[in-house]
Amino acid sequence: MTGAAIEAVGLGMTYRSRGGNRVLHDCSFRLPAGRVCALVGPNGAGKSTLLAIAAGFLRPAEGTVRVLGLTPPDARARMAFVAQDKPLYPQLTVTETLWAGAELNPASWDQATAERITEPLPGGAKVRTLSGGQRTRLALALALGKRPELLLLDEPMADLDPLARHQLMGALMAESAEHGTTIVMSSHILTELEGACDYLLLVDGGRIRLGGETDDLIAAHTLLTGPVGDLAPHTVVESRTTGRQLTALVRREGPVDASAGWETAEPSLEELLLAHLRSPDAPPLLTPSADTRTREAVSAA
Amino acid sequence: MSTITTTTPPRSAPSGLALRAGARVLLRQHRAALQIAGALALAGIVVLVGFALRAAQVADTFAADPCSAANVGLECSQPVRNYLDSMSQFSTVLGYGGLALIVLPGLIAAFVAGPMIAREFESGTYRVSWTQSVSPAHWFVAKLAVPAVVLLAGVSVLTAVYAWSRSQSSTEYPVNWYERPVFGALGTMPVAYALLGLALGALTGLLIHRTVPAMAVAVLATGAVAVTLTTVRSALWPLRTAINTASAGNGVDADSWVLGTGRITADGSRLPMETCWQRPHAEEVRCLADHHVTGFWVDHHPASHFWPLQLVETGIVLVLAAAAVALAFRVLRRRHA
Repeated sequence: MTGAAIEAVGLGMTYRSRGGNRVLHDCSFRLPAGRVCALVGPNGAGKSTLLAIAAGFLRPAEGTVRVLGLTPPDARARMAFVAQDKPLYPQLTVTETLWAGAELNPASWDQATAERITEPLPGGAKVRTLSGGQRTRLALALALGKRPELLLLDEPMADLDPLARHQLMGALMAESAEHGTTIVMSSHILTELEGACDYLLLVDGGRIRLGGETDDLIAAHTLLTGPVGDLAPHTVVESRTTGRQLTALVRREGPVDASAGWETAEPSLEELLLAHLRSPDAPPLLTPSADTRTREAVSAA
Repeated sequence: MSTITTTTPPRSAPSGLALRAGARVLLRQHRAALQIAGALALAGIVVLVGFALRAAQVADTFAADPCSAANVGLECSQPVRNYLDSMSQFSTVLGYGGLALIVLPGLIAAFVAGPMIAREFESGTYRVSWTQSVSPAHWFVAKLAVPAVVLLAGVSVLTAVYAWSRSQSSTEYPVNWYERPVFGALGTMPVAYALLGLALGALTGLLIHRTVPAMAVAVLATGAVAVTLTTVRSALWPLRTAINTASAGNGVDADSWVLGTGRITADGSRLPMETCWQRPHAEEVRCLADHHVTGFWVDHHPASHFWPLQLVETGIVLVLAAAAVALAFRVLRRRHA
């Protein structure tokens, strides 16, 4: 599978109802197909807005978005979306919800996949009687039963206990591995999705601050500790000095000068994300696969 | 077990299929409401038919009895009273039945606007509907088509039952065709207004995404149309004017809808009925002669105007309903692609 699952160019979104608050501003990125992507960022960063635009519920005020090479409405049959509040028809039972999924997605519905997810749920229970975690399970079953090529999940793990979280994350990983499904999961808990996701998009202040393969993004940065000194030519994301001691997270531009006496270490994902959130002025970094401007280069590779 | 195909053909369901699937899911969603509405309709039919049969039976018994409504001799007073009470009661039931049929469009508008459409936005379930392989347009068409079919069938039956029951009513307590609840419950009006309620409800639900305000606005909008059209109803078809010399009622059928009456002069100008009123007879005659009054005028709709009046109003209502639906599709397209 080649090509982009999502490609956004210059997305802008302003909510008039929130006093002209700019939620997204000149937001551009590319998500290659087949990845499991964590969409992280603080509360109110624009994650849900971004997902709603990709799912075709909101029309961006500026810019364009292509989903699976199509406009979001045209891609409707090939993607699934689970909103943050896990909306479901309250009048239907668990079994009827899956029946509705089969009715409304006749071309792609996979009852066995859906039933694997809803197995612990009482089939005759009305949706309105389910707990938060049970609703999440049913909403995920409805989304996975559709057998989408792109699965958009807004804060999917928030209501789940650790066991259910582990189990459902496993089901999502299996789906992705088996069918090459692209999965985007958002979370405001930065490291919640660590280990599950091989791709990362950090949204902050309505823009993409970091985008690309998680490993590549971590590898591009170095945590330096040592005497105060000139950090050039590296791009400094964040630096702190306590006395004569310097701690800095830098984006390496060439090898680190060993003679300066700095200790170098690879930052953890949490360190990398927090350093960026604490330094709003640090320039964004998108790896070639996430950068819309290098599309030709990627497709050639 | 079905095999999993690896090809990915265009997966949007064909229109007809998507619509039928959407309709089935919609019916399942609102099963409870449908059952309650069905039960209420059935109860209404049972009540109307029951009263009509009983009225017919009472009338037959009375006709077979040597006593009749005209003969109120002492020995007949009890059968006559029984008969008239029964007829009066039936006439009241018919009045309430007609009232129920003319408020029905408001209830339909409220249900479609609130529980069917606005609540989907308020609770966010529209995001479930629209992330299946069904477009918002299909979703909306199902929300119009399913109630339209249910209403066409259900309201037609109710109207037919109402019309039959009315035919059983007596001449002592006539249920006149032109009375507001009766006219609105007969002919093509109930179906047309039901469809208007559906269309206005759907439009309101799309515009106002909160259940309770959407219900209130939908009821008000439907009510406003109904009240406006009821007010101008008599002008929807040209009135017939009768000129009589003897008395005002002469030459006008008893079942005519009389809208105005007065005195007319030799040159054709109209004077109020009270002209020269309440004077000694001789003086009144002189006074009328002074005014050159030659007779009476009566503006009325004869019973034969029932269908023209029905069809014109039905046409207006259906045009309004179609406009509301067209506007609703525009709103849907503009807001949600």
